[in-house]
Amino acid sequence: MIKKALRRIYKDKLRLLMGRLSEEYNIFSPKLVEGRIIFDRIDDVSEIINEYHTRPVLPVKKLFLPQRETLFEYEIVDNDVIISDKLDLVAREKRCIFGVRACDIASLQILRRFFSRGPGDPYVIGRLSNSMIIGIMCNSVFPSCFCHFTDSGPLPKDGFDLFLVDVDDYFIAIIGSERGNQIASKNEDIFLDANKDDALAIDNKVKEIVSLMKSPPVVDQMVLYDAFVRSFNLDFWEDYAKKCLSCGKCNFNCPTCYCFDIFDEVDLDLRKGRRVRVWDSCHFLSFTRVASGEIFRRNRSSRLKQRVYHKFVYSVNDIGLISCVGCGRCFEVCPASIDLRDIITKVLCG
Amino acid sequence: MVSMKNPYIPTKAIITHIRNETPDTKTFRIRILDQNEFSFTPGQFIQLSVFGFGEAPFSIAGSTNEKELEITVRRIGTVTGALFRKNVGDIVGVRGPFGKGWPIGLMLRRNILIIAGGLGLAPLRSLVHYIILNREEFGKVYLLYGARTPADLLYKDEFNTWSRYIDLHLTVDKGDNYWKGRVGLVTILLDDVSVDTEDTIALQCGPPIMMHFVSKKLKSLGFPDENIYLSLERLMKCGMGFCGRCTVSGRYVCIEGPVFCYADIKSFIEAIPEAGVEHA
Repeated sequence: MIKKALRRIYKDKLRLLMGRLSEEYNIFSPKLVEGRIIFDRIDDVSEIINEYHTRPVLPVKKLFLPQRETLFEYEIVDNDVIISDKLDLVAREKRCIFGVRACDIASLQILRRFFSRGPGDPYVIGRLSNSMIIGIMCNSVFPSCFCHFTDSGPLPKDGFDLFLVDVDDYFIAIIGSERGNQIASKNEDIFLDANKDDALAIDNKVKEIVSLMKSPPVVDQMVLYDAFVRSFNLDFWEDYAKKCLSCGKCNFNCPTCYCFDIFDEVDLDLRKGRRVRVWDSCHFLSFTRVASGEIFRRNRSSRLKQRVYHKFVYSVNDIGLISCVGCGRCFEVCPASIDLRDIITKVLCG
Repeated sequence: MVSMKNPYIPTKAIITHIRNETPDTKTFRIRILDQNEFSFTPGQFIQLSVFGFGEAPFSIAGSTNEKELEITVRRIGTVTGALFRKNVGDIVGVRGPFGKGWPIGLMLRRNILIIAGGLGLAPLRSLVHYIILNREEFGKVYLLYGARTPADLLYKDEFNTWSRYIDLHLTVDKGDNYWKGRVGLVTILLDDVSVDTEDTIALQCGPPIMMHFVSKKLKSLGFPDENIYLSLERLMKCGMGFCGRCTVSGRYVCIEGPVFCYADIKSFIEAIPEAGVEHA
């Protein structure tokens, strides 16, 4: 049973709440654009969509590690270079991300852990610190969902300020942080006391959603880790490699794939330009190519395994967490229909 | 809300000297502006920016006791091509130093066997300079160096000085009319020296295929895995363990390397192609 503080928000009060928050925060939410759901900045709370039946085009990752971003701009003046840091733009913006599902919340926790290492990535960490997260529990599942297996959902453990669970004509709001608590206290007309049965209602809802998912049987994550370590040389990887097109769609749609490339982009006057980072893919041959021409992952199977082992082995070694959140986006978009759940099942069977 | 120094912003630096090493290789001496010194461990690398062309990682080839830094660069891609068009006095950008260098602490009072192939001598030149400066701290020191042709040998004008302090052996893949030295891969030089395999640390840097055969030969001579170190080349984009491009079986070469102990990476297939046993 959930231990966190609970409140009730009647559904007709949601827009009122978001309207008040929009006075202080830039609001980002799932919204409808040309027939598709995307996570983006909204100008009016009427654009908010809290229920959808097709997956948003890209995971919420894109709001923290954008597909493309300028790290700094430069201008060559005589024999000097003037560099203007773009980080202050990140630090200044206060954002509220509404409608984040448990899998995406789990992915942000993974990104936070990863990008806090060493000197820290100030762009990603800056955005994570400046963003209030209002999550919402899924009312249904997509055919590829298996967040129960990765222990990422449908109810997130942490990483949110508020998390809404849809019950009849109201939401049960789980208070996940001090910031969330303050929002609730400041808006007592919206955040009503929870009923003693609300915790049980959340439990029942979790059970219902879990029962709808086609997850592999849940195992301890260290069992999964060991199974992957043992399976590195098994023949079935070649079977998957034969099907894989190395298109990188799984990387770009994955809420935790963070690898990137950095390059300079020059204006036509050749004096000004910017250093840009863009998402990259470990499926591309260029990913491991060095100046001498050597490519360290030439075999397609080695690239496919790199991605999968990163999720279940290397990430555990690095940050102590698997970096798969069970959203299933990688096989939802895979043109070769390589289903990660099949791979997991094969690995667990040895 | 967050106040962090931005580690992606390079520090401005000025090219103070350019020396031609071989037809396609130059050594650039660089002074970081607003910074009186540049401290690093031999074997570490920097990210060098040529604004408008990008950034690339380079091993530091200069001495630890100098205020300016040196890199030896082969003209091979976008950034290096642009760097070759730069002159003394031009502005570039530097980030770093990054990574872990040669294990100097472990090398003290031991014999040192250095094996370099081609441009792989660059990060080892820093070390050779360090050893010469602190010569009494080390036992016997051998440097075995191989290049494609005599014209491709780097740092030729320093060989006489080096030879006064360390035992230098050279070989080329293909000689010319004037070459009187050894011809063949760098592994043949291991036949020319007799090292105490029990008390010698072997350090290598060169093409992966070279390090594959050198490692094999060192093993056959009786070197324990723990006494063999090598420097891996990868195209790091960030240098801080984020971009993911340099990983070897999940280890970030930019943080944990580029210098690794053979014992730690021998099982990683991606470390030295053809050498590893496939293993997660």
